[in-house]
Amino acid sequence: MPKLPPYHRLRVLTVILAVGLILCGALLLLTPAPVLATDVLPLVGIILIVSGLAPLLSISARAAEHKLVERAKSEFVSLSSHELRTPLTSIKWTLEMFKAGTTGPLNLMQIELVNRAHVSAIRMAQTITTMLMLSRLEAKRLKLIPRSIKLQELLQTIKDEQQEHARRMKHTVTVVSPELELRTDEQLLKEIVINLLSNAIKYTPEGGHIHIAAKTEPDDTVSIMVSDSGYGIPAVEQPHIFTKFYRAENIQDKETSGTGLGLYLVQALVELLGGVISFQSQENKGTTFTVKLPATLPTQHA
Amino acid sequence: MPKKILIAEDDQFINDLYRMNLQQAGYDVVVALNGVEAVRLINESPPDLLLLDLLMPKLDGHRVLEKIRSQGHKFPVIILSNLTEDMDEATRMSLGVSEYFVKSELDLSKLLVAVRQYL
Repeated sequence: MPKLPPYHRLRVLTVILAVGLILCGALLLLTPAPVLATDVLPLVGIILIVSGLAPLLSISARAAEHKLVERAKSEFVSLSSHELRTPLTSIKWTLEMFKAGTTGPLNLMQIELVNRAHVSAIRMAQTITTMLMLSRLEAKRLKLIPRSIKLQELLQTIKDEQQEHARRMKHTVTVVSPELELRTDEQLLKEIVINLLSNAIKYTPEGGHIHIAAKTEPDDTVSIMVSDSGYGIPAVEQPHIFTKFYRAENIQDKETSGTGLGLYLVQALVELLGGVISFQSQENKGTTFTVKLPATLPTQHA
Repeated sequence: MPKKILIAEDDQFINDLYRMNLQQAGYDVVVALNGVEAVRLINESPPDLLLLDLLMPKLDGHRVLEKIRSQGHKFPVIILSNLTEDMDEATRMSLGVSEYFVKSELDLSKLLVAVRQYL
């Protein structure tokens, strides 16, 4: 059984007790008169049933309310992310024009600062997208749009986008992928790989190696692997890494920021795409995440 | 004759950045600040390519697209929006959308590549 958060366990317990009360009540009501010939028992039965129904109704009312709140939250995040993305676009494109030399030559210090500002802008854009996906996921409003995707191209694009971040950490990043097409949701797949790659970059000490590899499997699935030579995940932490807000101890000590949402989102997205995610890790040696996806997104998922 | 690109985008700064980069790349650039203006300009003189924002005053990008397609305009359209894509393949096909980009995640250089591909 999957580990449930405490409030869930409480809810399950409440439901079991409530159902128990209702069953006892029904039993009393239905018990044939000769065995228990008193007038009070049916009344007790009714009281038991009512006291069992009350918490059930309150739970379902709260579930409906929760759904409304999630919806409102997701609408709010959608709107505010649009408002954040628009000025960010101008900032990012201006920096790109500086970088490309469109505005004239820059001195070394300007190049350095513009590069760093650009990395920050990219990171902010990614954070907004992650937030948006997360809120849509939790409001169950994440719509899948399956499309033919050239995997090698996509992986290369993601690598290019993270190149400056990797360069600052003095990492080498390699991509090895056959030229294969798969039919899945591009935005979700991109979000999955970006999260795994940026984790690999963040959680590997300077001068590391990060490798992205893809291959087709015989069972009509595609495996995408992201390996690093980083800090690794200690064995005791391994069962928890996909838990929302969870961050392993050994990375909390490092000077990296993180929300503990990345892998939680990644796992949920992989499942939405009909796939599975697994990992192998050894402390101070590195980690490999493997995402196995159907080459064609099953229609019942779409 | 340089190819003509119409930009329908209500953010003035983003508009200026499009214009600077596309003019520098040798294109003839016309700008509309809302959907109604975009439709009017298209009917005056159709462009070779339309860069279309979705959230715009007066007439949103979806409506602009429906309108110009029903009027028989066939030029390629690239949607550039900061809304996450929610168009499935069938909608894209029926409205003749060549590409859909989220602006904040797009590099200017990638935009120029895409523009070149459809002109």
